Amino acid sequence: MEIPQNSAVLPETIFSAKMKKMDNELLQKLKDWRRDIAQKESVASFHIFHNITLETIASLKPKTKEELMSIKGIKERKFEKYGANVLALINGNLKSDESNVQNKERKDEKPYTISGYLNFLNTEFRRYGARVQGEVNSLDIRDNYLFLSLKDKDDKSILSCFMWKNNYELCGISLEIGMEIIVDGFPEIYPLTGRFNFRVSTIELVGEGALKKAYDKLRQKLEKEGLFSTERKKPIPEFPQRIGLITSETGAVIHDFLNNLGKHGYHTQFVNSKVEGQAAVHDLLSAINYFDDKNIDVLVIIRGGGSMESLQAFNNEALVRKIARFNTPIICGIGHEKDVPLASLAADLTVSTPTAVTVILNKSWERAFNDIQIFERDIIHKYQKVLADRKYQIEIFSSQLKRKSDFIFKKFESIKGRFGKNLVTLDYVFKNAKKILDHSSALLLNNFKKNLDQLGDYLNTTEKRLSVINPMRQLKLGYSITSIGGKIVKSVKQVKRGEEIDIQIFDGKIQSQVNNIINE
Amino acid sequence: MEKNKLKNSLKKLEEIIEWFDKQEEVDVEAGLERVKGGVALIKESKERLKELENEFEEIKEELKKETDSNNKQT
Repeated sequence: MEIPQNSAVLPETIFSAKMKKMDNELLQKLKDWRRDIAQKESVASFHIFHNITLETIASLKPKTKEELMSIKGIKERKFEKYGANVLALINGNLKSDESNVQNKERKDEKPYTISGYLNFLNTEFRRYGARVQGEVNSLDIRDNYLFLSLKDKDDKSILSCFMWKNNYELCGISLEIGMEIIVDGFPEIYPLTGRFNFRVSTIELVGEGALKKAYDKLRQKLEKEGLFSTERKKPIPEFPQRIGLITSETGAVIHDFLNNLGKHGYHTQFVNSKVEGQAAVHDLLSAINYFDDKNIDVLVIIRGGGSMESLQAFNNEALVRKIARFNTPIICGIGHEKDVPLASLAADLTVSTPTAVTVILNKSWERAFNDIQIFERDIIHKYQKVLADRKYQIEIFSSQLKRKSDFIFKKFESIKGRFGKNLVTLDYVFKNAKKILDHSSALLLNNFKKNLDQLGDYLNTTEKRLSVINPMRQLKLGYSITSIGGKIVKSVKQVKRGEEIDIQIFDGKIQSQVNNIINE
Repeated sequence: MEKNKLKNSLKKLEEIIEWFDKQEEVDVEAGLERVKGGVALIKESKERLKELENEFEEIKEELKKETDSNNKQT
């Protein structure tokens, strides 16, 4: 609905509107005025003026009809109808003008129907919600609702109140006549009876004493039921990711919480809820109900510390029971003084501050982060060891194989060795043989020489001896040798007369003829 | 790459070693056959181990890069 309106405003108007400081107070007045008018005319408020138009008015603060008409979205017809009111609001004097205008208008306008008027009044009354303290004067509890009246202790004035039964039950308080209570609600006229009521949305006890008494009583009762027993608590999951968060959007708690929540990929779903006083019960319950069917890992309920009075919603029976039977684990981080809120006792895990909740949520993530670093180191280290082991194993096998199979080579070695040994022997034999041979030959030669020498000597001797007996020597001495036919003649019988003989003498031969043979 | 190649090779090697232990008198020819097989397995295993080592170093490097970049981010 805002979009077409934006285009209806000239860009420069938007620009100048943005440039000038917007009067927020005036804007609020304009909005209130617009709501009233819309109510009266039974139309939606944007039919009167769009937000952007009101914002432009609050920025530019037009003083005249012309100035007002220059704003886009305000045409003649609108000015006719509302121009005077708007200008009066800007000038800060609507009150008198308004009544004038309304007086004037009333004569012209249709009268309200009863229903319309009561409706208008009741809508107006809504703005006058309050907390009212008094003593329970009368009490009438019906099936679905109850009537009660509160009496002012000082002047005995009475406030009649109406309350729905379910709201009453939600409060967790049993009303009794004479009880001092605070009711929270707004005034209204019940159209069917025309009766004025204070519509009570919630009741709270007055004073720490009463609260403490109610607290102790409820605590005892729920304890007896086993609502707080550790057996029924659900474990908080490790590595929570989807977090439901219930707290108030105002105040430091939510900021502290979000700031302290680590960056671990959380998806935080936040539901704003009142956390202060009895009035917070309804908000808290509907916030928890909201998460009933939401896919979350853990639901976190937090608020800062406070007195028993300001924390009383967290001691509400309905809320405590709701927390105890909630299907997802709940962590409560509710600061408190002496008495632990019953909501915290019923929660699956309770810590004393909102920040402590973030510590819990972050814990498993941070541990995992550390673990991963350790695992990373370990996996490297361990695999390195495996590799080294395998390497060593292969070395072992390889040396074993070598050792085991050495015999194959050893056999060769031994054969070779034996062969070698034989070779040496053979060699020796050869060498020996050679030596013997050498020796023999030397001996042989020696002997031979000796023999030769001996032979020589013998020859010499023989020669000498021979020379002694050499017949030539005899021939020199005058002897001669007679031979016939090559044969030496030693006897006369060898020769005959007439035969030729050779006579060898020292210096030659004489051939002669046998003349005569003389036997001696 | 075959699955469990190294494991199988080592197992076979062990079997070969055991075979030698079991024989009272080793047949030289059969023994040599096994030695040949064993040497091949050792060679193969060493190569495979080297491959694994290289692969492991790469992964380690990647992991280091990853960790470094993560540390920078946080």
